[in-house]
Amino acid sequence: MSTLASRSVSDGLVSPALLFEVVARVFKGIAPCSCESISPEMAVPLAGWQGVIDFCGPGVGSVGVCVPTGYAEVLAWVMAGEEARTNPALQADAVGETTNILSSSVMALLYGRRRHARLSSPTVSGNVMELPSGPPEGLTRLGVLVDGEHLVQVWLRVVSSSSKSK
Amino acid sequence: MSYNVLIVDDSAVMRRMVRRALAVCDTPLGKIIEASDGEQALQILADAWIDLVLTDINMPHMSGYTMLETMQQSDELGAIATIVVTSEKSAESIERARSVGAKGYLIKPFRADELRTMVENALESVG
Repeated sequence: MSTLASRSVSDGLVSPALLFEVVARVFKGIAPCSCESISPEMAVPLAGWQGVIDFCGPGVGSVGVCVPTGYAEVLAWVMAGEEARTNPALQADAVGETTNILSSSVMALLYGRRRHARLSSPTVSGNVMELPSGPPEGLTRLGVLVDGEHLVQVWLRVVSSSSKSK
Repeated sequence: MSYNVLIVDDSAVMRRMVRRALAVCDTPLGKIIEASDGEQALQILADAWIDLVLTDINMPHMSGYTMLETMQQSDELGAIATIVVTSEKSAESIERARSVGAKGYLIKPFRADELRTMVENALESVG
């Protein structure tokens, strides 16, 4: 896996299959899900929350998770109980923690457990209009179908990688 | 005998999640107190009798590492069982947590039975 990851990162593009593996592992504990690679045109703004975490060393980039309001309610409920379901602050917190967990899993798969990447605290915003755009280099997008209903979007942008020095 | 627990995490959702997992532990638990960073946790530890600390690493104001290092420098606080609960998976992080006295290291997301086993082992290790 680390060989695949290193090759993908040094090419400036992380394989959707690699990202899928991590995303499925994180989300499967919540509900049955499937993932598909999505193009910039398919990455549509959602009414909900977006969690973003920046990482630095060995590579530099960001991980983002876009969650529609309905699914944020489910996340909050699964993580913190019924009373969290209708609490917007706890919904945002649940999206932030999910982004945090996902980012750590992505770092472990990309760079291995021996190498340490510094992660920022999650930034959670209600504005999901600002999805990353621009050229596809280093940007991988996945759509996550949970229970065949809600479309969660996950994206990973690798700005630079130190994998060539490995 | 029941054990008082301090949960330290800047995420309210995660504190609730840990609290819910503790509820299914066989270990008799007394008070469960929450803190949102290491600084607040040390203030609570100075005033209340705590038997077990479950702490995140990355928090504002004072990280879990700094809090554990501070606890380790005190004879009284150094005797408290501590478990790190984090999404950080690197070997470096696990080693650092051990070096500052953590009796357990639990990676998020975790199952309630994993937390239960770790709580039992940590409390046993400090007698």
